[in-house]
This record gives sequence, C-alpha cells and structure tokens, in this order.
Amino acid sequence: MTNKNIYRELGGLDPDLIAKAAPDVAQKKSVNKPWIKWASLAACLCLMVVGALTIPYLQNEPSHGQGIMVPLNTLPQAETMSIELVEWDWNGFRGIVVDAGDNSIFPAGDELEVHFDDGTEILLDDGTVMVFNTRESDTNAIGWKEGTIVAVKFATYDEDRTLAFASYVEVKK
Amino acid sequence: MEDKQIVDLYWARSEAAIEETEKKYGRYCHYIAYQILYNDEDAKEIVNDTYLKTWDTVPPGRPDPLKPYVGTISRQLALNRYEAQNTQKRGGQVPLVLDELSECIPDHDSGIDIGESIALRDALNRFVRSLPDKTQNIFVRRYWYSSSISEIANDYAMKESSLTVLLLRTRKKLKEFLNKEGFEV
Repeated sequence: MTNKNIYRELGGLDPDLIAKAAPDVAQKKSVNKPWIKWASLAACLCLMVVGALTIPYLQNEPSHGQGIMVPLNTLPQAETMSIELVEWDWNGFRGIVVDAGDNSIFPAGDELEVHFDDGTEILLDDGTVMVFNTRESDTNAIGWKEGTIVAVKFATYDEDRTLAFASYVEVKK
Repeated sequence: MEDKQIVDLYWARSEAAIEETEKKYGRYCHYIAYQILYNDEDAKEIVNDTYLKTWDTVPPGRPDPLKPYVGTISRQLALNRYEAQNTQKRGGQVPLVLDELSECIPDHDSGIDIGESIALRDALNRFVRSLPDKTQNIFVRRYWYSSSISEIANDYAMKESSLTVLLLRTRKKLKEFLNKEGFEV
C-alpha cells in the first residue's frame, strides 16, 4: 500500500463528509495566472532569505523525532492563566483568556488554542489525573462543557502567540 | 434548482440537466479538478467529462445529494489524468499532499488488490468520522479537496502554523489507526 493508494481511496469518502467540508467556491477563482505565480515566487524567495537570517526555528515535537518546523518559544519556567473553553478539538481546545494570571505571553481577551502534548496532565472532575497520550487519548473523555473556565499551565507557545502547549490543566476553582 | 429536480431532468433525458448541473456545480467541479491538475484548460475538460459521466450514470443512479456525486466524479477523472500525464511537474497541491500522506505510509512499490481497496476505503471513512467536527472538515479539505494550507487557514481563521500542527497530529493519528486496522504501514 502506498500514499497514492490512501489519496485515491479517500475519494470514496461518504458523501455527507465531502459535502460538509466543501469550500465556498463562489468567491474562489481557479484560473492559471502565471504572472501572479512568478510574483509570489519572488516574494517567497525574499521571505526565505530574511527568515533564514533572522528567525530561529525549533522542531515542535522532539519526543517523536520528526515533525514540521514551526517557530516555538519556551519560557524559563511554566506560567499559568485562566481560559474560557470555547470549542473542543481532539488534542486540546480553543478558548479566550479570561484571567492572564502570572503569564507574560497571552493577555486577557486573547483567543488562542491550547494543545495537549504527550505527558500533559489533566486533573479530571473525579480527582484522578489523566496523562494525555496523543496516540490514544481522547478529549471527549474529559467532559468539560463549553464555557468552563480552565486553569492552564504552559511553558511552550508559538511565535505567533496563538497556540500554547499545556503541561497541566484543571477546572478553575 | 433543487438536486432532486436536476436528477429528474437526467432521468427524463433532458439536456437541461447538464445546464442546471453546470449552473449549480460547475465552479465546484472546476475547483476540485484545478486543485489536482493546476491548469485551467485541463480543469475545464474534466468538468465537461464530469457532465458526460453523470449523464451516463444517471439513470440508473439517483444520487442524493448531487453535489458530492459530481464532485467525486471530477476528483476521480482529474486524478486519472494527473497520473496519466505525470502532471506533478506543473506544481499544485498533489505532490505536497502525497508527501504529507507518505508520513502515514511510506511509498513502497507494493500494489493493493480490490479487497484491500474496499477495506481501506471503509477504514478511512471510520477514521474521518472519529475526528472532531472542525478537524474532520479540515482533513477533508486538505486530503480530498487538495486545498492549499493558506486557503484552509484563511477559511477557518487559523494561523498557518496552527493548521500545519493540526494536520501533522491528525496524520499521526491516521497512521496509528491504519496500524491497528492491520494495514501494512
């Protein structure tokens, strides 16, 4: 089996999945405009040169040995903030900072994504601690509803300041 | 016009069926084909071939809804042409998408028989359904529609870096899923 097999067999996805994800093509144009392509390429080359000279990149998943390069920063020690949970995802949630706490990165009112990594500790409502495993764990098992205020401890965040990798989370008391 | 009415036109063998399909889904089919072939003229040909194939298959089929039906035809035809013409040299999303999917399974030169094909298709459906809503839609946009990272990020109001991380983790989940299902990875 090859990656091409997967790509082709994805063509057999159920119609409702295909329809649900459909892009809004009314606003999109798919005309081949070579001059745009060359202008974009020139701009990309400039950005690559600037980026190579000025931006340090860290591999974002050292525990797995391979990954894609995204700019990440790490604090000297973990900081804590309170976030209102807006929407769950399979590996974390999207939320809004309601109390910046002692954190120096995300002010109150900021929208961000909180990602759980391998080893993120989650204090569940029954007092037990779930240690998140990206291969097995499921955020559905945590059970916190949208609107819950969650205390998040983190040390790693992305350079765009839209993403925090939590080391510990619990419902704010 | 509602899909059911368009399908009725196909059953009545009225050429208005093609006109109505073009009005409602022409751009949609063109988008799908263009993302694969990265050429406007080729994409237009695929769209015309899509109408022809729909005409040939309806009846006896009665697709409901019609959108994913014609979309799937466009995707299949575009992929066939892509593989026949070795169009990856033109650019576009397919080489990038294939490269990403190779993380789930290396590009061994091993075939897949029809039984495995059906099993893989079923497994992929179950995997995609297991994903949370937003991740599900983003996964389908990237690997079914072959939409670019920048376009998906824009449509979902996400940073490209966040989107790339999300897709990376989802691909890892897919690899684990396929392993558990007994596919050779």
